[in-house]
Amino acid sequence: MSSSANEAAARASAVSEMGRTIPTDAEVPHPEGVRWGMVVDLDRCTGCQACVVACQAENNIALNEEQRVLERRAKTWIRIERYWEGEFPNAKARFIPVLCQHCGNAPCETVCPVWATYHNNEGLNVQVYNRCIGTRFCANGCPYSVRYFNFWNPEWPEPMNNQLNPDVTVRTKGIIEKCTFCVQRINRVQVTAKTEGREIRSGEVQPACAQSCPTSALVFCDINDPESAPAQLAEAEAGRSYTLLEHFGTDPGIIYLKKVDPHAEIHEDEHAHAGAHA
Amino acid sequence: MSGLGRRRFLVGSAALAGGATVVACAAPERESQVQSFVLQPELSLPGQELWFATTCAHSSCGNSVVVRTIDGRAKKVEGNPAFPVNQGKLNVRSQAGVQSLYHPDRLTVPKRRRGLRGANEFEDLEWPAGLDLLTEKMSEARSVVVITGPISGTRARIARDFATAFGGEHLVYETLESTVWRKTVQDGLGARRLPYLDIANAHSILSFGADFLSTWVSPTQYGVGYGEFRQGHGERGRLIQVEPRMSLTGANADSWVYVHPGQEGALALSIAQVIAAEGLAPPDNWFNVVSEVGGLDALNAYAPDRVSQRTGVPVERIQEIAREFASHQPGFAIAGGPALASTNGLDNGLAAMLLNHMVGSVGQPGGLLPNPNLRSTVTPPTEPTSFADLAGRGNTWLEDDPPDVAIVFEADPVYGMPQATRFADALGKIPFVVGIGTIMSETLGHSDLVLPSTHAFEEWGDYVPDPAPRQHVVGLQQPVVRPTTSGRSFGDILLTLWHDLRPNLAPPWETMRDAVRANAAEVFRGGDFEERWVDLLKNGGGWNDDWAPEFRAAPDWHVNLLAEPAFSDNGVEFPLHLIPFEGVALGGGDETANPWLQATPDPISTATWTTWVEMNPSTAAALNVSRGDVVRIETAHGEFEAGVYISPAAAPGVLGVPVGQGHAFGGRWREDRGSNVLASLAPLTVAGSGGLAWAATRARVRPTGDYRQLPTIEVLPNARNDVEEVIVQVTNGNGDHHK
Repeated sequence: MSSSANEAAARASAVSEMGRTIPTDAEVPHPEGVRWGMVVDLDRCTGCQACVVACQAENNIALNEEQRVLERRAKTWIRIERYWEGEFPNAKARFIPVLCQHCGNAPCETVCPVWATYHNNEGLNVQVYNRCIGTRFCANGCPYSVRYFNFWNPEWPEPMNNQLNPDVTVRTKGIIEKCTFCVQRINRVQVTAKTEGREIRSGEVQPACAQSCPTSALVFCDINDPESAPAQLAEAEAGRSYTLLEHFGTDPGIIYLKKVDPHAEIHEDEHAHAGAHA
Repeated sequence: MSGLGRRRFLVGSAALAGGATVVACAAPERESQVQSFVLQPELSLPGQELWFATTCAHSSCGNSVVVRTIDGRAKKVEGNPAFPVNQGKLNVRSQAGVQSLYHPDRLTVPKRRRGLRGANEFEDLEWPAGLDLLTEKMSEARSVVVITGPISGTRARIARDFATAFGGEHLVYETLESTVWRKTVQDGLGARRLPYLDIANAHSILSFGADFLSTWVSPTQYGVGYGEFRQGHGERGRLIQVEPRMSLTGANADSWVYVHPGQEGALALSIAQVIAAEGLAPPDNWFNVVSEVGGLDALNAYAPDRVSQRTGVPVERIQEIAREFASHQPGFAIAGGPALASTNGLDNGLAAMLLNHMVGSVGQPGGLLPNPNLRSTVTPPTEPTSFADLAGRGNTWLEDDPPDVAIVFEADPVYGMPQATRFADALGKIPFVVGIGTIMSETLGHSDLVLPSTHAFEEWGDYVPDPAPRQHVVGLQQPVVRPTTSGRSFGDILLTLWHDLRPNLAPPWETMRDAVRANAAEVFRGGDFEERWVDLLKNGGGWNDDWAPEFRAAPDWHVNLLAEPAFSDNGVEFPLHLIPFEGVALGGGDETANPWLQATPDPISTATWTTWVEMNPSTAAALNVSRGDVVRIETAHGEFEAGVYISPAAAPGVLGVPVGQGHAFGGRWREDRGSNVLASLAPLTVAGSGGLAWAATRARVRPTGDYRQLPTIEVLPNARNDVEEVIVQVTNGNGDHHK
């Protein structure tokens, strides 16, 4: 954890809400040290959107009809942000998949008045749908804009409802939803491993986004396991690794590996975007 | 006769359904029945998931997938990790297959036209009545034409042989065809099958317009290689993309180079000249090759200072590209997209291919590798019909020599052919047109009889990927759910008609399942076939390492033959270049009915659900238009409307417009949305190949005065208070990093 993250953790642990002390990631017990996370290699990511549709298919995300996009109320638990740099003929597009960062010090968790969102003991930022009362405090507090409010009940005209995944709750109007790291897949693998009396194998759990990614830019892992291939990758590529909006001290569970651009002119104060994104 | 046909058809259908039960699963209707917990139906435990391997045979991707089914419903499509083409990975379109399976606007019953063709007035029929009508028309027909999308394998063989048996031919329609690339490979490498691009082991790729990370040829296969190309081996691969409009591949390139439309070949020869003049590749590699195509003198005519103005690429830039490409070998050059869609597209492709010969990447690891020839002709790969041939057939039909019956399956030439070809009128000359598909399209809307087909997940079939991954591969397709409509498989419909009307010419199989099984037995011989068949179905197909012939290029081409590109009409009245492009989700428009794909943001503009035009800020300023303004884009052959998207990557004078929208048929998510750019293209062809020169149309733009908010997911600058944060951090690989 970076020093800024430590400071943020210390501040967060002092926060008290409704008479309860909000536990930080450092205080939450992680049995066997599991912390689910992801390594995202921006040098592999092409922005092809395969992860976006994979997520929607797996997680019963409501159809983003045109009106929803126009209202900026489209739900994409994972989205590809595109940033422009420079102008023609030297314009460059930069892509980055953005999803819930499953922060160790999640700003969304401390503001929920009903504990609908909390940090579980495997590092997941969890949303409990039937606790949520729709204050949207968490969405406002999330610096990554990855929490989505259900302004309407979702509709799938028959027989399209046949495709719905029975492992995933269909969310109703008035509550927040977000990336779960495909917790249903994690649970399934855990049950299987327990039944077979063994440990979960490295790489055995794959969220839908990582499974589909043609270039293997997204790799899911237990980031506390130094033996896992992604953790080793992050270690080997330490010079390229960073976390999103690191200075907020949120301690994200997603490690990004920087895009490599051999022609990039690197300046201390240079930003990777001339135009902005969601 | 027709009654016999119907009976045979129903027998075939029963066999299909029975097969599905054995290898697939049970029907959703069963949920409404009382089930015994003691006597469960085979392979159908309530709530238990079952996975079945099959193939996306209807879409051009041809990826092998495994489909998760629960209680007889398909839930999720994943890549088949065993399949050597996509290796467990999937693109956007393959994943959306489950949504087209359960699309609420799918065709469910046969329909007969009541009003004028194209008026979308139909009446529902029962299958027996539909088959009777088709049988009657077929029995009177002297000739029949079968028009399909890019199908392959057993399905293509049946379509081809069926058409022949009925005195006609099989035409294969691709929206933005691969004909020119195939011809480039044939002429430039001497290969009959497309080569394997060894992207994973390449150190550099020089791509002239080939959007191989998005839609070009086999993007999932290429995506898998691209990940390794970037970070999979010691030296990070370098990608140089040369094109007039920034594609998704261009957006990922280390160097994106703008070139004037149609001048990619001149630039390629200029790069070749620099390689030769500066000795960047061993002369042993290139001296003979260059001599065969005209020698150094001919090449010197393309020295950078001579072509810089013509191509729009500065002299120093050309030299840099040559040095970077030649010094990072192994690597290869490819051409696609607008480079091959100019009137001189084949020349452009062959000029790019010359670079491969010069740097020695032909037949070498990290370069272009040969694929095995077909073992047999029982499962042919896709053999697309060129635009010129298709348009020529249309002209023949217009001149009162049409076939008596046209059978159209999963192809939409009425939508995709430029309206200047009058293909809809030509189809209208055919006395009886039967359209077969899962959902209405423009071509089905112009049919006399519409027959609902099964979805790819409901039927038997196979698919031969081209390019193959250096192995002989056949992907198998099996029903993973029972049909949700009354639809019949295209192959079963043809086989039924064939046995009914031409029994002496009919093949031995009566159903597609029998045909696929028999062909698999012939292709994958040896051992106990019953065991083999089960393995083939479980694995999603079969593949064998096979001997691949060496490339034997016999270039019948000369550097001096590189033609100047021709464009429609004059540059004064129509001063802008119109470059259509296929988006990563909607492709050529065949999947536009799917709401997941409609809502998938275009990676460059982040736009969804509509048609937009990418425009350089200076071009927009000259036209006095801003983002969201609706403009009318006019060519000499048509006009359409689009919303302005001002892109910093767009070249001045170049209009990038996505293909896929502008349908009048196809259900709630497709109809009356956006515009069809293809209809307004000039019917120019690529010399020497017959492909459509879809990047050779000039246009002009008129503001309409209307404004329509663009449905993008990007936010305008300064719309967020953290806009100054560094989101995408970048390193130059030398230890220097952003931040």
